[in-house]
Amino acid sequence: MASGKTGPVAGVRRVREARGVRGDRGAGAVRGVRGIGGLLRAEARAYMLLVRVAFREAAQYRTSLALRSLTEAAATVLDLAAIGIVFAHLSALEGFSLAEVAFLYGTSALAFALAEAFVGPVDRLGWHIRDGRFDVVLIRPVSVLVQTATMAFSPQRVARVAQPAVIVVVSCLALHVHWTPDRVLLVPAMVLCGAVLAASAFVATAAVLFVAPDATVAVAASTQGSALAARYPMTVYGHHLALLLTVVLPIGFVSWLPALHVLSRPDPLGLPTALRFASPLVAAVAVGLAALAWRAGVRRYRSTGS
Amino acid sequence: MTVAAAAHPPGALAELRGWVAVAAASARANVAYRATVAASVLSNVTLTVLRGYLALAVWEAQPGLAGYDTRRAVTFVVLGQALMTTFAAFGGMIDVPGRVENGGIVIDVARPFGFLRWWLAREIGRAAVFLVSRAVPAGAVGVALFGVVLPASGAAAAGFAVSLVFALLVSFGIRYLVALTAFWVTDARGTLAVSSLTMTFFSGAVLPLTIFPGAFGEVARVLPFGAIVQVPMDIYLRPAGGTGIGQALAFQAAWALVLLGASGLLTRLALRRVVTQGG
Amino acid sequence: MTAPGQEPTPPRQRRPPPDAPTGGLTSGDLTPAGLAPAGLAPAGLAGASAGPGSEIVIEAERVRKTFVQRRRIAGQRLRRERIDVHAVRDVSFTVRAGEIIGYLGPNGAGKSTTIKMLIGVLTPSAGRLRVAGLDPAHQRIALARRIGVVFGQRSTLWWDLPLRDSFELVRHLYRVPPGQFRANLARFVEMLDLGPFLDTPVRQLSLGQRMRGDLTAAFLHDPSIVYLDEPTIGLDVVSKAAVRAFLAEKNREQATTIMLTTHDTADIEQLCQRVLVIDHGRLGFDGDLATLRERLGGERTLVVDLAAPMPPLTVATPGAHVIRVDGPRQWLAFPARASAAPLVAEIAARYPLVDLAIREPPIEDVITRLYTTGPEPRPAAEPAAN
Repeated sequence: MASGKTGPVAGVRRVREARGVRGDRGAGAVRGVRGIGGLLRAEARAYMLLVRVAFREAAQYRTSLALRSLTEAAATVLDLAAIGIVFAHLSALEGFSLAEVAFLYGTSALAFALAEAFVGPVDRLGWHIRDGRFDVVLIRPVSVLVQTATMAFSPQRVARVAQPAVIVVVSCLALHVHWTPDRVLLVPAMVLCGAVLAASAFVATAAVLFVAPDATVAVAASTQGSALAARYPMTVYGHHLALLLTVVLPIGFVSWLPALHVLSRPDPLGLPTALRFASPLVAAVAVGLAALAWRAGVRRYRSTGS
Repeated sequence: MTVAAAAHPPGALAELRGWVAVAAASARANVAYRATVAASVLSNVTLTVLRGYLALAVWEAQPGLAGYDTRRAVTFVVLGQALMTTFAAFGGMIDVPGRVENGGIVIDVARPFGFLRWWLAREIGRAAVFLVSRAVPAGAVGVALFGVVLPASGAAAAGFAVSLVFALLVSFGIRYLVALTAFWVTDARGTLAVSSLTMTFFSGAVLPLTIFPGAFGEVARVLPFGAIVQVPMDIYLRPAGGTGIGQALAFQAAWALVLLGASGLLTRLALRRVVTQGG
Repeated sequence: MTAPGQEPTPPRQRRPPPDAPTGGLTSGDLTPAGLAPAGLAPAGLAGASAGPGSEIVIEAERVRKTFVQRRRIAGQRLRRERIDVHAVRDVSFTVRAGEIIGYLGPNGAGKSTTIKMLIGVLTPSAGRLRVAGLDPAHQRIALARRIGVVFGQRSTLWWDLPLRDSFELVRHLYRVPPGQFRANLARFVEMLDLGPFLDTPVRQLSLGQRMRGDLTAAFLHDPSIVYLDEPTIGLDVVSKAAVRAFLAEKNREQATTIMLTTHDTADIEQLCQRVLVIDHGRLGFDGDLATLRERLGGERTLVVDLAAPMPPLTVATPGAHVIRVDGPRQWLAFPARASAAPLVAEIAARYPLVDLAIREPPIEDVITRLYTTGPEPRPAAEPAAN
């Protein structure tokens, strides 16, 4: 309905629109837009184009980019140091061995880093609304989400996937697990679903900024919070909070539940084992909800102009 | 009132009124958007709860880590989180770069209220709002959920209160100096990123500085960043009859003095640059 | 001071009697003759497509936009009251392909809100809106490909990249075929003299250069409708002239429909065949400039050159009087609504008249009057606001 053309929900209508255009404007304007697949391809092309532009823009300020890249590297080192310092003093946490905790930490951090790399800048939405740049977004023939996810895109953030990826590999090597094919396959699958879940969470929380454009820090803090919550065994948070974080907020589906299968452990919360394989389904639902939230946000912006 | 007026030259009174006006305006601006305040309170409480539970689990697995028992460790983490938001230990929040970019800096410079004073007064107003709206709710949740310990002595409580003022001055000094770099570099995001990382990590907000091993820990504990979270928490958690509160406060005060002095100096250089180069 | 003979402005050929109904709300017919200031023909004159037969491209029917504001009630700390702010109230108009429309009104009158609804940034609270056959609120992206937008105060270019890169990007985003892109860019570079700064990052451009870049970006995909929000604001005289010449040319060449908001009266005089005036969210006037002048009254000036210097003329025509004498030349003011013919006839009969010219009231005066007094109240077409 409104223009937050995100995800498959909005796809059908967009295609209809595109056909309407083709009727009287010639094929040139809508070349390649055929069906939902074509639509997604078109959006993906626009996304890649805008990301390339962001790289070129960042390259204009070499010192700043160098500093930020160095910071990113230093952050990785310090982060590893922090983990190292904590783990150096621990042999186990909540009954999970060091390697098991590292596996949980790595897979969830990798999922969040991937989400951050793809849609991280959506949390700048508030700034764009405040200083009026968002109106410029709405006059371009590209979906609002693609544009918002690529404005103020920081290239060096992409490097953030390196550190958790290393932790995943190292922890997998250290785990005492019988690596059956299903376990091997589950590792990349859980990271992928986790990334989709995290990206949905980013987009859904950023949609709050349509209502409260100044809440950038709060939105960043909430994504930080979910990243933090996903990193450790859920039982750390006590039974009730753990249930809340697993079932109500689907943070447990990022890595905790599938990891239980990989580590072949009983669920301390006593949840059905089927849930360990439910991440793709949950991720799909999350995408739909995020799309709804985002579209509601765009609609609200367009009716209030705030 | 009359006493104050008699004791100080009228200029000082006007000066004070200026500070109050700027701080009050900044405070009002920080509560203007209710949805924003609500979202911030909620996310801050959530982070506090998560970090509190995490600390609980870590210290139960390894009691006495970093020299704290479990309750003190949770106190450190919960209140540290509150201090971190109030004193912006994650850097930024002083928007000189934005003002330079959009040209508003000219207005700031032309204002008959010193540039440094303007930003410091605004920061006091912001911190006051954050203390009430972010730190207090998070602290209350901490008390309710984790049984946060109270200061062991009146001296510790009073020292903690004073140390909060110094923590704000040190935090402001660092962030202000970083923000001023916008006068010299076209894109201040780089310096901002470096400062943000350094401040967060070495303030004690991520991990207590007492946990850092060897020379690394030695260095971390003399840097100014610890004055923002670590030192106030040290004073707060000092056992009854414990000494060294004065020393800790002196450490903060010295850094506050150095940083504000440097801020004044750099402000003069920056403004001279605006005058000669037109921003 | 120019001699009357040098001013080509002829006395008006046709002029309705003062009491005849003047251009009403729906009058789309244009009477541009006599409007042209010295040396500048209104751009749209050559764009013959703006005739009454051409296709309707914008249709607004009782469009309304209401914002809800919450304000703290004085004296009460916590309760807030809801206030409906009517930014645009029941605005109706149609625009035909090839028209150049000036959209005028004081600050906060509802101009930007209207434009934002027309480009699909804002959704109308009520009413019907069709632009290029599409519903802007629901078909934003399809519409975006056919329109161009220029914000005078906000660049759509990429701040940190060379100007050329922004155009490249527009090409991809709007899917402009390569041939069309090359041809358009080459032509715009020539028309707007972009060559010297094509490779300069946008942040280093002057305001005038940036605006020329923004214009190019808005026209690269050959939009059929272009909206400009204060396109000449803050520009120097040369840049303003470049912008106007470009708009006039694009309108003439491709019958591009152009709608612009502006506070610059020269923009209106030199470009707009038709003006819409909005105030307090209501459309108060829709017609050509001449009609607007008539509606608002004020005085026109008749400049006469006599055979010899004379004392101030005494004329019997009602309302006419001499306001200035300089040698053989005299200036007479007369009501703008009245025809000049009786006055001219009287002077020609009684005095040695050599030459004459008629000056319209400066558009500044018209606009000032408009904003201070408001246009004439419209007959009750207003439904009860709910």
